[in-house]
Amino acid sequence: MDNISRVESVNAPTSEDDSEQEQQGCGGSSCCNPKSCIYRFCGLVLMCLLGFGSYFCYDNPAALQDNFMSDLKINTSQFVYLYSWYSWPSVVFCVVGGFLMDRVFGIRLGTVLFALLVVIGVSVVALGAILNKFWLMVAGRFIFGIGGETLAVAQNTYAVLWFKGKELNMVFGLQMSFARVGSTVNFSVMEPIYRWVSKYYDGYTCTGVVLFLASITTVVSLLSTIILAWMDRRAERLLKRRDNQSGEVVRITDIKDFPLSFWMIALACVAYYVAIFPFIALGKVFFIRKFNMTPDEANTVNSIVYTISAVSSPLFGIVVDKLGRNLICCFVSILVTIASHAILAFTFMNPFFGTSLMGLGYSMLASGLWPMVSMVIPEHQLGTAYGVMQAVQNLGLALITLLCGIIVDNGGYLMLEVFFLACLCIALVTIVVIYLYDSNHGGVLNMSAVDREVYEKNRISAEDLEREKLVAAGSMSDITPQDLLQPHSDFHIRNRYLSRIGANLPSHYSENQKGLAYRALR
Amino acid sequence: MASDRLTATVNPGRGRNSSNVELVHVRAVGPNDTLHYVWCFHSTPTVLLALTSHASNLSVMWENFPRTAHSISFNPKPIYSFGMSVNKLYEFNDLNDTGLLDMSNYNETYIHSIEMPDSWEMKNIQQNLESVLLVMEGSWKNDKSFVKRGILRIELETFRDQGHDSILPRLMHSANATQLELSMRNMATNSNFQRGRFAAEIILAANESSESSVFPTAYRSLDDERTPGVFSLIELQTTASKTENKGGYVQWRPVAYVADERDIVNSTETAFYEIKNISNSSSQLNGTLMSAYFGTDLNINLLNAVNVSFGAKGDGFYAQNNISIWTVTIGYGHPPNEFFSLFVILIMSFCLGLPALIILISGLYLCFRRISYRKDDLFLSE
Repeated sequence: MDNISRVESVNAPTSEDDSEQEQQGCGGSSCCNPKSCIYRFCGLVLMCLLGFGSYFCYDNPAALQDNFMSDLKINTSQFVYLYSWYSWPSVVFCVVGGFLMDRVFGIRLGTVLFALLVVIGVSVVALGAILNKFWLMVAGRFIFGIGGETLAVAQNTYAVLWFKGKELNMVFGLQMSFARVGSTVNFSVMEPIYRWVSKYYDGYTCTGVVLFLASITTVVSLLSTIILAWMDRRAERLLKRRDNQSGEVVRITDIKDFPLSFWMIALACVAYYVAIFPFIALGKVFFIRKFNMTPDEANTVNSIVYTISAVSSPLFGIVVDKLGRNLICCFVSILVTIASHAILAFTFMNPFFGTSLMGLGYSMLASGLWPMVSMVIPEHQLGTAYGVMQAVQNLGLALITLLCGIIVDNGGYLMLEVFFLACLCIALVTIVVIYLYDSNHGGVLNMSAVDREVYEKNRISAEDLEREKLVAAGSMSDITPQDLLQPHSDFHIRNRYLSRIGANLPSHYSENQKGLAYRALR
Repeated sequence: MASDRLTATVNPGRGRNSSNVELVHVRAVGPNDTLHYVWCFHSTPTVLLALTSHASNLSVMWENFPRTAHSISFNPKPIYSFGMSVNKLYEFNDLNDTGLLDMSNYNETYIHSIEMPDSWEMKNIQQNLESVLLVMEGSWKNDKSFVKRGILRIELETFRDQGHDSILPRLMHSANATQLELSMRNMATNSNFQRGRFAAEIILAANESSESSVFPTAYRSLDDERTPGVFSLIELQTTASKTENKGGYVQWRPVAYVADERDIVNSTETAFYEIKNISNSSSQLNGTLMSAYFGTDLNINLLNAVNVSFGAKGDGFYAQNNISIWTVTIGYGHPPNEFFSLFVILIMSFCLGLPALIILISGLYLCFRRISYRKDDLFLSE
């Protein structure tokens, strides 16, 4: 059974009177009122800032590749370690981090801890550079990887928590474009910063100092997580938003019970993204050789995918918010991307056209696809779910990027494009299958925005009705003192109902044990 | 058309044991005629193709070769002959990192011309049913005045049947062609050029009238399946090849590899320049296979030169890897055309066909569902 959406409760407090009373202390001004747009907007800014530091620092080595290699006396294969030690461990740690956030820390503490991990990781990298210890830098990237990727998971979860049923698609789009801004800013400012610092320091000390300066951005992100945590707490308190009101305990084994539609969304996500990121990584030579571009032009064409998506993904997000119908949106965006790859592969048309189209498709997909997870997974498991999704994506990308290198070296770029088209076909088929599956299971994924609102309302009132029925129907004879002390959760009531009709409950469903063993952790 | 068999002879008429290998003669006997390849390393590396009747034989007057005209000849006379030689190398100082050779700027600070190696050593010769391979390495032993060190390595290979070479750039060759691979290894000169690149001057000669000439064509293709990362193909065709498919051509991919481990990362581009006429050819080509074979005919026959430079903007110049490898085929007839392989066509049709099919089916499904809903409505209203 699904829980009552926590997000709904942010904006739909259990009792209007209570919340209004409490808000009077703050003067009820709009910027302090957790219900107001401005409050949520502030939260949004912080949510975007939260990821900025890690996106900025992620590409520091790439922006300073030549300086890195000459100052630290490393070769290209060693340089690649800085990235592989970031990405491979995160495949596992995304899931672990998302799960810990659901189960142990809660989102607020979890986010702060992950941001702290990022700060530590980035500082260790900088320290490694100052001491000229390459292994220390790699270790720092490892810590950074754990922090950075789980922070991304936390960011997604926050977005759902605050914006579900409102501007969620737009928020996902905006977060993505902000990530792009972070990495773009990095590429444009690191070089000048390095030149400025090199007036005072030289060699590996210079690189180290530059990296320390870069790590300031992660401290800003850490601060924003702390403020966000405070805001979230306040919103919860004022709006009487119950944390984990169901009392359901998240387990790592819940993963196997995730609905089929979730796994298909993850598959579509991987199949789609492998046709974007590895292409951009390998694209430069393709543009130079096939379209006779200069290296600078090729870089511009290559980055246009990100530039366009940075602008258009919030816009597409707004459109999806207004229209709903996420599946149609994904379907169209995959078609657009297929068209763009086909243009690049089978024509000599100016590649600006193809890559711009790809940027549009990519941003459309990102704002349509990620929010779908929040529609098929209950609130209290969202951290785990986004963690799994991120992990699957990272694993897929890491493996496919290796495969793409092999394909290009042996079969050329035409084969690579054909391979990307095949991946996109898989994504397309998956979306169609999700549509068919979903329309047999309520069809929430492809509802229009209006229908979805009605659906959510009905679902909640149906649940409320169900609970009232259960409470009313039950006799009071078996009520324990603990029942009186604890709020009645769906889980609780369901279990009591089940045990009363004589159904066997799994051992971990034992209510008393649950109350003792897991409450303290939350 | 595949030839029946290939026979290679080293220094024909003098024997293999003589002081050094200067000439290799490969005879490819076809169904109607015989194609001879003469590979010569006397002063400039030269490949000569001659199409003759089955009865024709090569004769070399070794005492006069290669100083005297017609000291090497076929008897009876060939139907067609075509030669290509690597005449000299250039080193130029690409200060602006353009990757291009600017011959109008011919001065000491920009460009140096390097004569061909004075000493050639045979590294390998292999003959089997399918192909003949000769590997030669040239070095500047006697004349150290300009080239301090370095090796010019040339691999020549001819094939019984058409196909693709197994290593990059996997040029396509017909049964009527010789593949030449030129690599400049560890070259160091006295030029002190900070941003040095190399270029080669190629000379083409054919027994066509001097009114005919060489036509360059650069094809762009969508397909880089054979040579990853390279989408063009350069062809130089003589008039006879272009009009009747009965002339010589050279063909190459505009790519040079900068490491023995050839892949996209270790590749750079090549550029070629306008086709030039050669003035005062007899003195320039004196002592080469060209003059020994064509003699004074050089003045009335097709004779052109073209420069090919190796390197592209941003590749770090020659000094970054100290090696450049460039491959070209020299052949007779019409240059072979590349096609999509069956595998690519299959996958392409799958990848583009499947989405189309899905859209069609889902469209039909939706229509069908609409119609059946309407029927249900009617049924209910009854």
